[in-house]
Amino acid sequence: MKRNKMFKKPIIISVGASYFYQALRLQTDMVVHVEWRPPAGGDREVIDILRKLKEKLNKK
Amino acid sequence: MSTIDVEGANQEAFGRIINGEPWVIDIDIARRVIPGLKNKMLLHAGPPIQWNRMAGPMKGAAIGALIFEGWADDEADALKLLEEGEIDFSPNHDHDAVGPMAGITAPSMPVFIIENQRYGNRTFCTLNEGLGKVLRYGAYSNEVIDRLNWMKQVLAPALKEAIKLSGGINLKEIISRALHMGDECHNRNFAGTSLFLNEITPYLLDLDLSSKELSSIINFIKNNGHFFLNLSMPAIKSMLDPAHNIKNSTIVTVMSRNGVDFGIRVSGLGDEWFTDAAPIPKGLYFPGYSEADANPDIGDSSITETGGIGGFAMASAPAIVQFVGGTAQDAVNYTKEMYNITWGKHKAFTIPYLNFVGTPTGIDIIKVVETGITPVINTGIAHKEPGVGQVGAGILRAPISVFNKALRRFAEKIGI
Repeated sequence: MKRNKMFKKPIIISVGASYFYQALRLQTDMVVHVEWRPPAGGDREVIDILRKLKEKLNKK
Repeated sequence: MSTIDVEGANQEAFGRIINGEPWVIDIDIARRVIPGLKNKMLLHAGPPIQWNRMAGPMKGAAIGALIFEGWADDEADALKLLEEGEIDFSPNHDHDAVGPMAGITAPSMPVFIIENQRYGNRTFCTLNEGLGKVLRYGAYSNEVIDRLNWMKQVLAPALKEAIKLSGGINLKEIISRALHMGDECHNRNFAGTSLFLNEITPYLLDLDLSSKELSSIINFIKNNGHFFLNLSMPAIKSMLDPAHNIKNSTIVTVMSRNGVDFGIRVSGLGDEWFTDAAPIPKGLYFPGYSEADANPDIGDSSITETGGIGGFAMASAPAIVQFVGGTAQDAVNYTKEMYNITWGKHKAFTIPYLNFVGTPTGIDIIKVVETGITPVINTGIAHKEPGVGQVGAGILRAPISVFNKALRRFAEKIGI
């Protein structure tokens, strides 16, 4: 799809919880859903551990 | 310089999983073949749990098992022994075994013996009883015990002889073909059951059975679309076990639930369980039942998802949504999503609808934590009270917390 055609009408991008998408979908076709969840379910300590782990594993 | 080769360790684990060659080679009585299964001991599904913490369906199955074993005459007698601590409990997974739902494996029960002919390891699983009022869902009425006795006295001895005559049956081949016939080999096993029946029937016909016995055996398998589940589960476990205990591997080798706790084991983290509360599945209920009746998730059957089939292969089995809920597109989406958290694509298990791509296989705890995407599992739903049985089937997600806990331990282990 060409860019000008793609943006001819407003497009709603729903990120995360799918029930927002489902509610919007009942009202319009111009909505797309992006599956997204926070890393580690949002646990900041584990996110920090993950960052350090990846740094360590990438040092080769 | 880092010497921690997680990628190499995970590639090794993945290779061992997909290259396994599970065959059913025999049936025997559990106490004769399962390592460490002692008298007055019951094996159960999921991470370790004792009687006082057990969920209703597991308590019901334990009561039934005591009656079946002849250790108790009735429910009251069984409860007395259980409450006095006379019975030892141990997880199936600590004994190379698996069991669906409550997963109770008692010493006198017949079990399938599966051998991974590539790596030489063996696994064990009881024979599937069917749906509805059955021991694995916590029912223990006379009809349940009578069926278990018939399975022990008639079904198992005949199947044992037939399997021996066959020289063993290749389960990897049956699973591969069943995935092309609309099964995902966890909650949809119609094709797998039919293929197994095709393989075994000629050998059953060669046995010295009365026509009444032969007919009862063939009809029992034919009328139980879940019969193959108790072969797909130990087959997949036998493929996963050689991938366990690989240093620095972050691949999950067990996911299992005991009706109270959801637990995982990770290849590079030994036999430690990482657990949290088991979720309640979202699903379809039999008439007269609702989510209020449901027990939290239970069973070793999520070994199928751990090995790249079941919920991970739902794109192969769109019709399963009529049993577990959702749409056919949901089934495809679940499979596609699981590629984000797995190490690779299976070589032998492929999905026609996705141009025969391999199923997503080898759950990596780093990928789960990084994406926040947790494994999808489809499952039967047991009533929360002992003695009732199955009330529906549905879908759930493994809790992220167990992967977070495992990642913390892995980080500790490598000095972070």
